[in-house]
Amino acid sequence: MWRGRLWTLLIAAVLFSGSAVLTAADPPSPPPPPLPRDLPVVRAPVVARPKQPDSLTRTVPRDVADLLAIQKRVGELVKGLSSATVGLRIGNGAGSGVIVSTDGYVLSAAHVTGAPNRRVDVFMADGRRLRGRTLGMNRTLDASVLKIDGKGPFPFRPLARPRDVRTGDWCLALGHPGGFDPRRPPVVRLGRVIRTENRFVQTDCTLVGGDSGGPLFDLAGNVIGIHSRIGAPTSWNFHVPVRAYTESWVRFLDGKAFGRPSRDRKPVLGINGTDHDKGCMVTGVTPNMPAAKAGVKRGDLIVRIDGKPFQGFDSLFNHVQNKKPGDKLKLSIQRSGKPVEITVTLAGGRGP
Amino acid sequence: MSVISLIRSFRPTPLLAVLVVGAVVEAAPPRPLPRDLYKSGSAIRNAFRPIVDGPSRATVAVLVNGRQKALGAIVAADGWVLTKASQVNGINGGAITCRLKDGKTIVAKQVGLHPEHDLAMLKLEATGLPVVMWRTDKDPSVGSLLATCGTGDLPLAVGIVSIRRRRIPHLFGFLGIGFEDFAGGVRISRVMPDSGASRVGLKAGDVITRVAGTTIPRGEELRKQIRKFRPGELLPLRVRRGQVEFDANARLGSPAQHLQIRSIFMNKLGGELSFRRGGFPNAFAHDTVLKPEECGGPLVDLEGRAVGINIAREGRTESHAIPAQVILGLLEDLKSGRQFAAPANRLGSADPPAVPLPR
Repeated sequence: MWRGRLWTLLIAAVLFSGSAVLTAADPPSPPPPPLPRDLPVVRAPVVARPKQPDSLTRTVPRDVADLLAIQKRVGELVKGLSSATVGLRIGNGAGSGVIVSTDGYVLSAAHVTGAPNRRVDVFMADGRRLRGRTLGMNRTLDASVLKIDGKGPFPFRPLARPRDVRTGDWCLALGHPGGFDPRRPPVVRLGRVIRTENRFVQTDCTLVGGDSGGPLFDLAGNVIGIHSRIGAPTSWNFHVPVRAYTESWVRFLDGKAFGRPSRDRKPVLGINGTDHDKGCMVTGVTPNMPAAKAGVKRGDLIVRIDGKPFQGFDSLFNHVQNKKPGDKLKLSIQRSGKPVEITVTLAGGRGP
Repeated sequence: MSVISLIRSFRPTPLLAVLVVGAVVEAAPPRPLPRDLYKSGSAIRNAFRPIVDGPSRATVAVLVNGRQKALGAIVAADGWVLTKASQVNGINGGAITCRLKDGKTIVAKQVGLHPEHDLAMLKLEATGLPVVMWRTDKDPSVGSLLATCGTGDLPLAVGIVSIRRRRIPHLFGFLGIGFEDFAGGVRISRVMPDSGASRVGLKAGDVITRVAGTTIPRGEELRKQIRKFRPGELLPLRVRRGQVEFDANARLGSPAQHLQIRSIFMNKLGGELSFRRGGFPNAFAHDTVLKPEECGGPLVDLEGRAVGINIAREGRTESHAIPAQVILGLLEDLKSGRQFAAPANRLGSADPPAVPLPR
């Protein structure tokens, strides 16, 4: 019965990608017992990526043999990755997580776990329900850590070294889209790393509500990210980079809540679009956003940005990314076959 | 090609409000991966070229009144094509034709139907057609690479098995009202635009007294009754408005049409979903991003063997396929023209007579 209610919450959680919604929705709970003092303070469990066969690292698979090699590796990994992937229930919220040490440290997303020192139900892939407690969180990067009660041993996968994560890597996303379902093991998706930044990793592993906090793995089976946010295109899946955890490991274990939801203003245009051979077709214009104010209309075909031809919505996205709020953007548009030039002043908003 | 869902009539959320956004300012932002190198980018799909060479010849585009509504799989050389029934709607839909890889277009007639699996068998007047080769030993394991064949030289999209086969629960039909309990029963508090409720003229303040003959004392009972019906079916309602009581048959919508609901909204991020996308007795899920009109055709493994038929785009993360073994068990019956019954306890597709509404 609780699944129905869960839905709305975890979706709100991802959409707002901050702890505010979940925290606000939590009923007042009795103060939890103090944290045990004997938690070991150690370095984040990070391992170097072993040398991979060329078939797994080629930019483009050369032949069917390369595809077979990728398939074989994924097949070998699935069971181990699934058993380290957990479903989480915290108050009325829910999401996913990944066990990264044999003694039961779990990485998740700040918008899933919320404040430190809260009780957590941890659902293992085999259906077992364990108890745990949230530790620290970084609100800025949407990172959090929790600990399963007891000493284990628990099935786990270590973190990859941040510098080993590269654009173009094949990757696997696991998690519980739609919330934990005891009749369904963690759901596996394949993709590639599209972008790596200090504050996020972007892939085309499709995510949805309930996946939040779940792991992104490389083909060595190490954790390279934690699911955090999505955008409209299926290639807009954003993950917390492992750096967020490795650089602040002790603060997480000390149960510190740090960072603020990002106030950085990112350049915003305010359109939806589909790819087009000649650029990008506008399929939607967000009211009161710069594109709408400047007169961009649904059905417009954008053929040049700042005078340069481009292909596809993502190229437009990338171009906007390299600008700042307040910057001007010149759009060359074909509207019902007629050329229209529109200059848009980008606004600022929250981004990935 | 990624299709970005068109979002209208929806309250902007922080996520929506930043559809085009920027990243952290870095000294030299690393170059993002070019599109053709994405999982289903053209360069990656090109590696599947030899795999789909055979199966794409056994794939057809199924057109209704000249527009592609689905793909189909040629299952016998003398013109038998399996497809997704609800996309084609062969009984009261338009004229069906199938376009082969060589460009030839052939008129088709629906002969067999299995509503529960949502499969239809079409018959083409043709002989010597290439046929899909089935993989019959076992389902592909989780993580196996799969290619969705179109009629081109490259697969339409690729992905992996995400969840092994299981029963996919059916979706509830969507009436499109908000309601509240009051002393006299259940009162409509809100009618969503473009819903089945609004199309039969229901209004806020109307009282729902009966659904399919069952008296509705409370909202709980109303919800229970509605859940017995599926998207596309007619829900027989008895409604009281002031002193007047009348009957109304509201056509239930698919939740996909109702973006006001957050979970549905999120699942629609990334493209259109199939209207019929639940209630399959036996299907496995894969992560291939498909359009509704790209369902109905063969899904092949790295050896080019059909491991199933794509039956639905279910959400942002999942497409469903009916396993080859299940398909093989149905082929002869469907070819013989058998019309399997719709699942029990449903109204089916027979429309009750229209009832005039009071003014």
